[in-house]
Amino acid sequence: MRILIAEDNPVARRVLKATLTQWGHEVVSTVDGQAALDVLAATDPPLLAILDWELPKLDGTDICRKVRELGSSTPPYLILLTARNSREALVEGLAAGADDFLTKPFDQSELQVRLQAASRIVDLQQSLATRVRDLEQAIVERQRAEEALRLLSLTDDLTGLLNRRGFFNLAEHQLKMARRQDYGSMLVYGDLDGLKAINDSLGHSVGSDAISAMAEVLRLNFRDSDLLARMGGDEFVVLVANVQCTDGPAVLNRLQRSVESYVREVAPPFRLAISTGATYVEPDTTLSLDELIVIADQAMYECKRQRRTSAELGEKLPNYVLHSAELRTPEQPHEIIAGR
Amino acid sequence: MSYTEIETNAFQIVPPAAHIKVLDPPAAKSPIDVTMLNLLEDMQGLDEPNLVVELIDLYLEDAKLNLEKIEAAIVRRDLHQLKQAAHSLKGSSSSLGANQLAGWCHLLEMFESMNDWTKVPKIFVNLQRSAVEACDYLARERDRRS
Repeated sequence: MRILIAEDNPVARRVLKATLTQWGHEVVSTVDGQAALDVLAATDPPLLAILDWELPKLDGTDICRKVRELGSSTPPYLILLTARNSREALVEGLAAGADDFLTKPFDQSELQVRLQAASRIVDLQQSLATRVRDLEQAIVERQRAEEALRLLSLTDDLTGLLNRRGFFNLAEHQLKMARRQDYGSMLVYGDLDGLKAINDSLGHSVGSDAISAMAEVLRLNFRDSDLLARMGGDEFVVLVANVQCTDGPAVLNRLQRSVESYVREVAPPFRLAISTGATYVEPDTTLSLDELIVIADQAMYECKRQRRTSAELGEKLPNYVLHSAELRTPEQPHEIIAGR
Repeated sequence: MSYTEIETNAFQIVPPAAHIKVLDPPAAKSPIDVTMLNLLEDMQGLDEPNLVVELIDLYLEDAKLNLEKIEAAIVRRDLHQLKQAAHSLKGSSSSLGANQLAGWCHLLEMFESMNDWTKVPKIFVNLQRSAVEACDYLARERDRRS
Protein backbone atom coordinates (compact mmCIF):
# COMPACT_ATOMS: atom_id res chain seq x y z
CA MET A 1 0.00 0.00 0.00
CA ARG A 2 1.14 3.58 -0.60
CA ILE A 3 1.37 5.42 2.70
CA LEU A 4 1.94 9.11 3.36
CA ILE A 5 3.83 10.03 6.50
CA ALA A 6 3.95 13.56 7.87
CA GLU A 7 6.48 13.89 10.66
CA ASP A 8 8.78 16.82 11.28
CA ASN A 9 11.15 14.96 13.57
CA PRO A 10 13.87 13.53 11.29
CA VAL A 11 14.70 10.53 13.50
CA ALA A 12 11.10 9.55 14.12
CA ARG A 13 10.33 10.02 10.40
CA ARG A 14 13.24 7.83 9.35
CA VAL A 15 12.29 5.07 11.82
CA LEU A 16 8.68 5.11 10.67
CA LYS A 17 9.70 5.07 7.03
CA ALA A 18 12.13 2.19 7.55
CA THR A 19 9.48 0.23 9.44
CA LEU A 20 6.80 0.67 6.79
CA THR A 21 9.23 -0.01 3.93
CA GLN A 22 10.32 -3.16 5.70
CA TRP A 23 6.68 -4.31 5.73
CA GLY A 24 6.48 -3.82 1.97
CA HIS A 25 4.70 -0.47 1.83
CA GLU A 26 5.62 2.37 -0.47
CA VAL A 27 6.25 5.47 1.63
CA VAL A 28 5.80 9.14 0.73
CA SER A 29 7.54 11.30 3.38
CA THR A 30 6.66 14.88 4.19
CA VAL A 31 8.03 17.15 6.89
CA ASP A 32 5.23 19.69 7.32
CA GLY A 33 1.45 19.85 7.26
CA GLN A 34 1.06 21.84 4.07
CA ALA A 35 3.24 19.43 2.09
CA ALA A 36 1.20 16.52 3.44
CA LEU A 37 -2.07 18.19 2.44
CA ASP A 38 -0.68 18.88 -1.05
CA VAL A 39 0.08 15.18 -1.48
CA LEU A 40 -3.38 14.17 -0.26
CA ALA A 41 -5.13 16.72 -2.47
CA ALA A 42 -3.26 15.69 -5.63
CA THR A 43 -4.69 13.17 -8.08
CA ASP A 44 -4.32 9.52 -7.11
CA PRO A 45 -3.21 10.24 -3.54
CA PRO A 46 -2.01 7.61 -1.05
CA LEU A 47 -5.02 5.98 0.61
CA LEU A 48 -3.46 5.88 4.05
CA ALA A 49 -1.74 8.68 5.94
CA ILE A 50 0.07 8.68 9.26
CA LEU A 51 0.11 12.27 10.48
CA ASP A 52 1.98 13.68 13.44
CA TRP A 53 -0.32 15.84 15.54
CA GLU A 54 2.14 18.68 15.89
CA LEU A 55 3.55 19.76 12.56
CA PRO A 56 4.86 23.04 11.15
CA LYS A 57 2.44 25.08 8.96
CA LEU A 58 -0.64 22.87 9.42
CA ASP A 59 -1.05 20.47 12.30
CA GLY A 60 -2.43 16.94 12.02
CA THR A 61 -6.01 17.88 12.90
CA ASP A 62 -5.96 20.72 10.34
CA ILE A 63 -4.94 18.22 7.67
CA CYS A 64 -7.75 15.86 8.73
CA ARG A 65 -10.32 18.65 8.52
CA LYS A 66 -9.14 19.88 5.14
CA VAL A 67 -8.93 16.40 3.65
CA ARG A 68 -12.52 15.68 4.78
CA GLU A 69 -13.61 18.94 3.15
CA LEU A 70 -12.24 17.67 -0.17
CA GLY A 71 -14.95 14.97 -0.11
CA SER A 72 -13.22 12.40 -2.31
CA SER A 73 -15.07 9.21 -3.28
CA THR A 74 -12.12 7.23 -1.92
CA PRO A 75 -11.13 9.28 1.14
CA PRO A 76 -7.78 8.39 2.71
CA TYR A 77 -7.59 6.60 6.04
CA LEU A 78 -6.01 9.03 8.49
CA ILE A 79 -4.02 7.97 11.55
CA LEU A 80 -2.96 10.68 13.98
CA LEU A 81 0.35 10.16 15.70
CA THR A 82 0.48 11.83 19.07
CA ALA A 83 2.04 11.82 22.51
CA ARG A 84 -1.28 13.05 23.91
CA ASN A 85 -3.36 10.17 25.04
CA SER A 86 -6.08 12.04 26.89
CA ARG A 87 -9.74 11.56 26.16
CA GLU A 88 -9.98 15.23 25.10
CA ALA A 89 -7.24 14.77 22.51
CA LEU A 90 -8.96 11.63 21.23
CA VAL A 91 -12.28 13.44 20.84
CA GLU A 92 -10.64 16.45 19.20
CA GLY A 93 -8.76 14.28 16.71
CA LEU A 94 -11.78 12.16 15.80
CA ALA A 95 -13.96 15.25 15.46
CA ALA A 96 -11.41 16.69 13.03
CA GLY A 97 -11.82 13.59 10.85
CA ALA A 98 -9.08 11.19 11.97
CA ASP A 99 -9.86 7.48 11.66
CA ASP A 100 -7.44 6.22 14.27
CA PHE A 101 -4.77 7.15 16.79
CA LEU A 102 -1.29 5.95 17.52
CA THR A 103 0.59 7.13 20.58
CA LYS A 104 4.25 8.00 20.33
CA PRO A 105 6.71 6.42 20.55
CA PHE A 106 4.77 3.87 18.54
CA ASP A 107 4.92 0.20 19.30
CA GLN A 108 5.71 -1.86 16.21
CA SER A 109 3.18 -4.63 16.80
CA GLU A 110 0.47 -2.08 17.57
CA LEU A 111 1.26 -0.17 14.41
CA GLN A 112 1.09 -3.42 12.45
CA VAL A 113 -2.41 -4.37 13.63
CA ARG A 114 -3.66 -0.84 13.17
CA LEU A 115 -2.39 -0.88 9.60
CA GLN A 116 -4.21 -4.17 9.03
CA ALA A 117 -7.44 -2.60 10.24
CA ALA A 118 -6.77 0.43 8.04
CA SER A 119 -6.13 -1.65 4.95
CA ARG A 120 -9.40 -3.55 5.47
CA ILE A 121 -11.28 -0.24 5.50
CA VAL A 122 -9.35 1.14 2.53
CA ASP A 123 -10.00 -2.03 0.48
CA LEU A 124 -13.68 -1.92 1.35
CA GLN A 125 -13.92 1.71 0.44
CA GLN A 126 -12.18 1.13 -2.86
CA SER A 127 -14.41 -1.76 -3.82
CA LEU A 128 -17.43 0.35 -2.90
CA ALA A 129 -16.16 3.22 -5.03
CA THR A 130 -15.63 0.81 -7.94
CA ARG A 131 -19.13 -0.56 -7.45
CA VAL A 132 -20.60 2.95 -7.43
CA ARG A 133 -18.68 3.80 -10.60
CA ASP A 134 -19.96 0.63 -12.27
CA LEU A 135 -23.51 1.44 -11.24
CA GLU A 136 -23.25 4.99 -12.52
CA GLN A 137 -21.90 3.65 -15.79
CA ALA A 138 -24.75 1.15 -16.00
CA ILE A 139 -27.29 3.92 -15.41
CA VAL A 140 -25.80 6.05 -18.17
CA GLU A 141 -25.82 3.09 -20.56
CA ARG A 142 -29.41 2.31 -19.68
CA GLN A 143 -30.45 5.90 -20.31
CA ARG A 144 -28.74 5.76 -23.69
CA ALA A 145 -30.48 2.50 -24.53
CA GLU A 146 -33.87 3.90 -23.51
CA GLU A 147 -33.27 6.99 -25.61
CA ALA A 148 -32.32 4.79 -28.57
CA LEU A 149 -35.44 2.69 -28.04
CA ARG A 150 -37.58 5.80 -27.83
CA LEU A 151 -36.20 6.94 -31.18
CA LEU A 152 -36.98 3.51 -32.61
CA SER A 153 -40.41 3.45 -31.02
CA LEU A 154 -43.51 3.55 -33.21
CA THR A 155 -45.98 4.52 -30.53
CA ASP A 156 -46.72 7.63 -28.54
CA ASP A 157 -45.89 7.37 -24.81
CA LEU A 158 -48.84 9.41 -23.57
CA THR A 159 -51.71 7.94 -25.58
CA GLY A 160 -50.44 4.60 -26.84
CA LEU A 161 -51.52 5.61 -30.36
CA LEU A 162 -48.99 5.47 -33.19
CA ASN A 163 -46.51 8.31 -33.24
CA ARG A 164 -45.57 10.18 -36.42
CA ARG A 165 -42.86 7.65 -37.24
CA GLY A 166 -45.20 4.71 -36.62
CA PHE A 167 -47.94 6.31 -38.67
CA PHE A 168 -45.73 6.90 -41.70
CA ASN A 169 -44.43 3.31 -41.58
CA LEU A 170 -47.86 1.72 -41.46
CA ALA A 171 -49.81 4.22 -43.59
CA GLU A 172 -47.49 3.77 -46.58
CA HIS A 173 -48.10 0.07 -46.32
CA GLN A 174 -51.87 0.54 -45.96
CA LEU A 175 -52.06 2.79 -49.04
CA LYS A 176 -50.26 0.14 -51.09
CA MET A 177 -52.80 -2.43 -49.91
CA ALA A 178 -55.61 -0.01 -50.89
CA ARG A 179 -54.16 0.37 -54.36
CA ARG A 180 -53.78 -3.38 -54.84
CA GLN A 181 -57.24 -4.21 -53.52
CA ASP A 182 -58.78 -1.14 -55.15
CA TYR A 183 -60.51 0.48 -52.24
CA GLY A 184 -60.71 4.09 -51.20
CA SER A 185 -59.41 5.52 -47.91
CA MET A 186 -59.91 8.67 -45.94
CA LEU A 187 -57.26 10.68 -44.17
CA VAL A 188 -58.62 12.60 -41.18
CA TYR A 189 -56.68 15.35 -39.45
CA GLY A 190 -57.92 16.34 -36.00
CA ASP A 191 -56.84 19.10 -33.66
CA LEU A 192 -57.99 19.42 -30.08
CA ASP A 193 -59.86 22.70 -29.46
CA GLY A 194 -58.49 24.96 -26.76
CA LEU A 195 -55.62 22.84 -25.42
CA LYS A 196 -53.65 25.97 -24.68
CA ALA A 197 -56.50 27.34 -22.60
CA ILE A 198 -56.66 24.07 -20.65
CA ASN A 199 -52.90 24.09 -20.06
CA ASP A 200 -52.94 27.73 -18.98
CA SER A 201 -55.92 27.51 -16.64
CA LEU A 202 -55.74 23.94 -15.31
CA GLY A 203 -52.09 23.00 -15.79
CA HIS A 204 -50.20 20.79 -18.18
CA SER A 205 -51.11 17.57 -16.45
CA VAL A 206 -54.82 18.26 -17.13
CA GLY A 207 -53.81 19.17 -20.68
CA SER A 208 -52.24 15.70 -20.96
CA ASP A 209 -55.46 14.20 -19.61
CA ALA A 210 -57.41 15.97 -22.38
CA ILE A 211 -55.07 14.54 -25.02
CA SER A 212 -55.45 11.06 -23.53
CA ALA A 213 -59.21 11.43 -23.42
CA MET A 214 -59.34 12.36 -27.10
CA ALA A 215 -57.17 9.35 -27.92
CA GLU A 216 -59.65 7.21 -26.04
CA VAL A 217 -62.55 8.64 -28.05
CA LEU A 218 -60.69 7.96 -31.30
CA ARG A 219 -60.06 4.36 -30.26
CA LEU A 220 -63.74 3.84 -29.41
CA ASN A 221 -64.97 5.51 -32.58
CA PHE A 222 -62.78 4.01 -35.29
CA ARG A 223 -62.26 0.42 -36.35
CA ASP A 224 -59.28 -1.70 -35.41
CA SER A 225 -58.16 -1.70 -39.02
CA ASP A 226 -57.92 2.12 -39.09
CA LEU A 227 -54.59 3.70 -38.23
CA LEU A 228 -54.74 6.13 -35.31
CA ALA A 229 -51.81 8.40 -34.59
CA ARG A 230 -50.86 11.36 -32.45
CA MET A 231 -48.62 13.52 -34.59
CA GLY A 232 -47.44 15.58 -31.64
CA GLY A 233 -48.93 18.24 -29.40
CA ASP A 234 -52.72 18.30 -29.84
CA GLU A 235 -52.79 16.90 -33.39
CA PHE A 236 -54.16 13.52 -34.40
CA VAL A 237 -54.31 11.71 -37.72
CA VAL A 238 -56.50 8.78 -38.73
CA LEU A 239 -56.21 6.76 -41.91
CA VAL A 240 -59.61 5.15 -42.41
CA ALA A 241 -59.39 2.09 -44.65
CA ASN A 242 -61.91 0.88 -47.18
CA VAL A 243 -64.44 3.71 -47.42
CA GLN A 244 -66.36 5.31 -50.24
CA CYS A 245 -65.95 8.97 -51.09
CA THR A 246 -69.55 9.45 -50.01
CA ASP A 247 -68.93 7.97 -46.55
CA GLY A 248 -66.92 11.02 -45.51
CA PRO A 249 -69.64 13.08 -43.80
CA ALA A 250 -70.95 10.03 -41.94
CA VAL A 251 -67.52 9.13 -40.62
CA LEU A 252 -66.78 12.66 -39.44
CA ASN A 253 -70.21 13.30 -37.96
CA ARG A 254 -70.01 10.06 -36.03
CA LEU A 255 -66.66 11.18 -34.58
CA GLN A 256 -68.24 14.40 -33.30
CA ARG A 257 -71.11 12.42 -31.77
CA SER A 258 -68.60 10.16 -30.05
CA VAL A 259 -66.84 13.17 -28.55
CA GLU A 260 -70.16 14.58 -27.35
CA SER A 261 -71.31 11.33 -25.78
CA TYR A 262 -67.92 10.88 -24.08
CA VAL A 263 -68.27 14.36 -22.58
CA ARG A 264 -71.81 13.54 -21.41
CA GLU A 265 -70.88 10.21 -19.86
CA VAL A 266 -67.47 10.96 -18.38
CA ALA A 267 -67.98 14.66 -17.64
CA PRO A 268 -64.26 15.49 -17.71
CA PRO A 269 -63.17 18.64 -15.80
CA PHE A 270 -62.15 20.29 -19.06
CA ARG A 271 -63.73 21.17 -22.36
CA LEU A 272 -63.20 18.36 -24.87
CA ALA A 273 -63.77 19.21 -28.54
CA ILE A 274 -62.02 18.58 -31.82
CA SER A 275 -61.80 20.31 -35.19
CA THR A 276 -61.48 17.88 -38.05
CA GLY A 277 -60.53 18.10 -41.66
CA ALA A 278 -60.35 15.21 -44.04
CA THR A 279 -59.59 14.20 -47.56
CA TYR A 280 -60.75 11.23 -49.54
CA VAL A 281 -57.93 9.14 -50.98
CA GLU A 282 -58.57 7.40 -54.30
CA PRO A 283 -57.24 3.83 -54.50
CA ASP A 284 -54.83 4.84 -57.27
CA THR A 285 -53.90 8.22 -55.85
CA THR A 286 -50.78 9.85 -57.27
CA LEU A 287 -50.37 11.99 -54.18
CA SER A 288 -47.77 11.12 -51.60
CA LEU A 289 -48.65 10.56 -47.97
CA ASP A 290 -46.99 13.88 -47.09
CA GLU A 291 -49.13 15.72 -49.63
CA LEU A 292 -52.30 14.02 -48.41
CA ILE A 293 -51.48 15.03 -44.84
CA VAL A 294 -50.95 18.65 -45.91
CA ILE A 295 -54.34 18.66 -47.62
CA ALA A 296 -56.13 17.15 -44.61
CA ASP A 297 -54.31 19.56 -42.32
CA GLN A 298 -55.45 22.53 -44.45
CA ALA A 299 -59.01 21.28 -44.28
CA MET A 300 -58.70 20.96 -40.50
CA TYR A 301 -57.48 24.59 -40.30
CA GLU A 302 -60.41 25.71 -42.40
CA CYS A 303 -62.71 23.83 -40.04
CA LYS A 304 -61.05 25.45 -37.02
CA ARG A 305 -61.41 28.89 -38.58
CA GLN A 306 -65.10 28.31 -39.38
CA ARG A 307 -65.75 26.98 -35.87
CA ARG A 308 -64.25 30.12 -34.35
CA THR A 309 -66.36 32.37 -36.54
CA SER A 310 -69.48 30.34 -35.80
CA ALA A 311 -68.77 30.48 -32.11
CA GLU A 312 -68.44 34.26 -32.25
CA LEU A 313 -71.71 34.52 -34.19
CA GLY A 314 -73.42 32.08 -31.87
CA GLU A 315 -74.12 29.66 -34.74
CA LYS A 316 -73.89 25.91 -34.68
CA LEU A 317 -70.27 24.82 -35.13
CA PRO A 318 -69.34 22.88 -38.27
CA ASN A 319 -68.33 19.31 -37.52
CA TYR A 320 -65.72 19.00 -40.20
CA VAL A 321 -64.29 20.26 -43.46
CA LEU A 322 -64.01 17.66 -46.12
CA HIS A 323 -61.71 18.18 -49.00
CA SER A 324 -61.71 15.92 -51.96
CA ALA A 325 -58.11 15.88 -52.97
CA GLU A 326 -58.64 13.95 -56.15
CA LEU A 327 -61.00 16.57 -57.55
CA ARG A 328 -58.31 19.19 -57.30
CA THR A 329 -57.58 20.69 -60.71
CA PRO A 330 -55.85 23.93 -61.72
CA GLU A 331 -59.23 25.54 -62.38
CA GLN A 332 -60.83 24.25 -59.25
CA PRO A 333 -58.08 23.95 -56.66
CA HIS A 334 -60.37 23.24 -53.72
CA GLU A 335 -63.68 21.76 -53.21
CA ILE A 336 -64.55 22.22 -49.67
CA ILE A 337 -67.61 20.81 -48.07
CA ALA A 338 -68.32 21.98 -44.58
CA GLY A 339 -70.70 19.73 -42.72
CA ARG A 340 -72.78 20.81 -39.77
CA MET B 1 0.94 14.92 36.34
CA SER B 2 0.14 17.52 38.99
CA TYR B 3 2.21 20.57 39.66
CA THR B 4 3.31 19.18 43.04
CA GLU B 5 4.55 16.00 41.41
CA ILE B 6 6.59 18.00 38.94
CA GLU B 7 8.03 20.03 41.76
CA THR B 8 8.95 16.94 43.72
CA ASN B 9 10.56 15.37 40.69
CA ALA B 10 12.50 18.48 39.89
CA PHE B 11 13.98 18.81 43.35
CA GLN B 12 14.72 15.17 43.95
CA ILE B 13 16.54 15.13 40.64
CA VAL B 14 15.63 11.55 39.94
CA PRO B 15 15.29 10.48 36.32
CA PRO B 16 11.71 11.53 35.62
CA ALA B 17 10.97 8.82 33.09
CA ALA B 18 10.21 6.32 35.83
CA HIS B 19 7.44 8.60 37.10
CA ILE B 20 5.81 9.38 33.80
CA LYS B 21 3.28 6.81 32.81
CA VAL B 22 3.33 7.53 29.08
CA LEU B 23 6.96 6.44 28.79
CA ASP B 24 8.45 3.04 29.36
CA PRO B 25 10.75 2.86 32.40
CA PRO B 26 14.37 2.99 31.23
CA ALA B 27 16.50 -0.11 31.43
CA ALA B 28 18.63 -0.17 34.59
CA LYS B 29 21.40 2.42 34.50
CA SER B 30 21.65 2.37 30.73
CA PRO B 31 20.84 5.72 29.08
CA ILE B 32 19.41 3.78 26.11
CA ASP B 33 16.72 1.12 26.07
CA VAL B 34 18.25 -1.18 23.49
CA THR B 35 14.93 -2.81 22.56
CA MET B 36 14.43 -0.15 19.92
CA LEU B 37 17.96 -0.42 18.54
CA ASN B 38 17.66 -4.21 18.37
CA LEU B 39 14.36 -3.93 16.52
CA LEU B 40 15.87 -1.52 14.05
CA GLU B 41 18.89 -3.76 13.69
CA ASP B 42 16.57 -6.65 12.82
CA MET B 43 14.97 -4.53 10.14
CA GLN B 44 18.26 -3.91 8.40
CA GLY B 45 17.97 -5.96 5.27
CA LEU B 46 19.67 -5.93 1.93
CA ASP B 47 17.80 -2.73 1.13
CA GLU B 48 19.06 -0.76 4.09
CA PRO B 49 22.23 -2.38 5.49
CA ASN B 50 23.27 0.80 7.35
CA LEU B 51 19.94 1.83 8.78
CA VAL B 52 21.08 1.94 12.43
CA VAL B 53 24.24 3.90 11.66
CA GLU B 54 22.22 6.31 9.53
CA LEU B 55 19.66 6.77 12.30
CA ILE B 56 22.30 7.37 14.95
CA ASP B 57 23.96 9.98 12.73
CA LEU B 58 20.59 11.65 12.21
CA TYR B 59 19.95 11.54 15.93
CA LEU B 60 23.30 13.01 16.98
CA GLU B 61 22.84 15.88 14.58
CA ASP B 62 19.24 16.50 15.65
CA ALA B 63 20.06 16.26 19.38
CA LYS B 64 22.90 18.77 19.05
CA LEU B 65 20.64 21.19 17.21
CA ASN B 66 17.81 20.93 19.71
CA LEU B 67 20.10 21.18 22.74
CA GLU B 68 21.41 24.44 21.31
CA LYS B 69 17.87 25.64 20.78
CA ILE B 70 16.91 24.73 24.33
CA GLU B 71 19.92 26.59 25.70
CA ALA B 72 19.16 29.63 23.58
CA ALA B 73 15.54 29.59 24.68
CA ILE B 74 16.59 29.52 28.32
CA VAL B 75 18.95 32.44 27.77
CA ARG B 76 16.16 34.39 26.06
CA ARG B 77 13.57 33.15 28.59
CA ASP B 78 11.37 32.03 25.70
CA LEU B 79 9.10 29.30 27.09
CA HIS B 80 7.43 28.65 23.77
CA GLN B 81 10.68 28.07 21.93
CA LEU B 82 11.81 25.95 24.88
CA LYS B 83 8.74 23.76 24.60
CA GLN B 84 9.13 23.27 20.85
CA ALA B 85 12.80 22.28 21.05
CA ALA B 86 12.17 19.98 24.04
CA HIS B 87 9.26 18.38 22.18
CA SER B 88 11.42 17.76 19.14
CA LEU B 89 14.28 16.29 21.18
CA LYS B 90 11.76 14.10 23.00
CA GLY B 91 10.52 12.73 19.68
CA SER B 92 13.99 11.83 18.41
CA SER B 93 15.06 10.42 21.75
CA SER B 94 12.07 8.15 22.22
CA SER B 95 12.46 6.92 18.64
CA LEU B 96 15.89 5.49 19.50
CA GLY B 97 15.08 4.40 23.05
CA ALA B 98 16.75 7.29 24.89
CA ASN B 99 13.85 7.20 27.31
CA GLN B 100 15.53 8.88 30.27
CA LEU B 101 16.39 11.89 28.15
CA ALA B 102 12.92 11.85 26.62
CA GLY B 103 11.51 11.97 30.14
CA TRP B 104 13.51 15.11 31.01
CA CYS B 105 12.36 16.70 27.74
CA HIS B 106 8.76 15.90 28.60
CA LEU B 107 9.15 17.55 31.97
CA LEU B 108 10.68 20.66 30.44
CA GLU B 109 7.84 20.89 27.91
CA MET B 110 5.26 21.26 30.63
CA PHE B 111 6.52 24.56 31.96
CA GLU B 112 5.11 26.59 29.10
CA SER B 113 1.52 26.09 30.18
CA MET B 114 2.45 26.86 33.80
CA ASN B 115 4.51 29.89 32.81
CA ASP B 116 7.07 28.95 35.45
CA TRP B 117 10.82 29.43 35.10
CA THR B 118 11.99 28.51 38.56
CA LYS B 119 12.67 24.79 37.96
CA VAL B 120 13.88 25.08 34.41
CA PRO B 121 17.64 25.60 34.97
CA LYS B 122 17.86 22.65 37.36
CA ILE B 123 16.02 20.33 35.01
CA PHE B 124 18.14 21.51 32.13
CA VAL B 125 21.32 20.46 33.99
CA ASN B 126 19.91 16.96 34.36
CA LEU B 127 18.69 16.92 30.80
CA GLN B 128 22.15 17.87 29.58
CA ARG B 129 23.80 15.13 31.61
CA SER B 130 21.28 12.63 30.31
CA ALA B 131 21.87 13.84 26.74
CA VAL B 132 25.64 13.47 27.02
CA GLU B 133 25.23 9.90 28.29
CA ALA B 134 22.76 9.01 25.54
CA CYS B 135 24.87 10.54 22.79
CA ASP B 136 28.05 8.86 24.06
CA TYR B 137 26.30 5.53 24.20
CA LEU B 138 24.90 5.91 20.69
CA ALA B 139 28.22 7.15 19.30
CA ARG B 140 29.91 3.99 20.65
CA GLU B 141 27.14 1.87 19.09
CA ARG B 142 27.68 3.68 15.84
CA ASP B 143 31.47 3.13 15.86
CA ARG B 144 31.03 -0.51 16.77
CA ARG B 145 28.91 -0.96 13.62
CA SER B 146 30.83 0.98 11.00
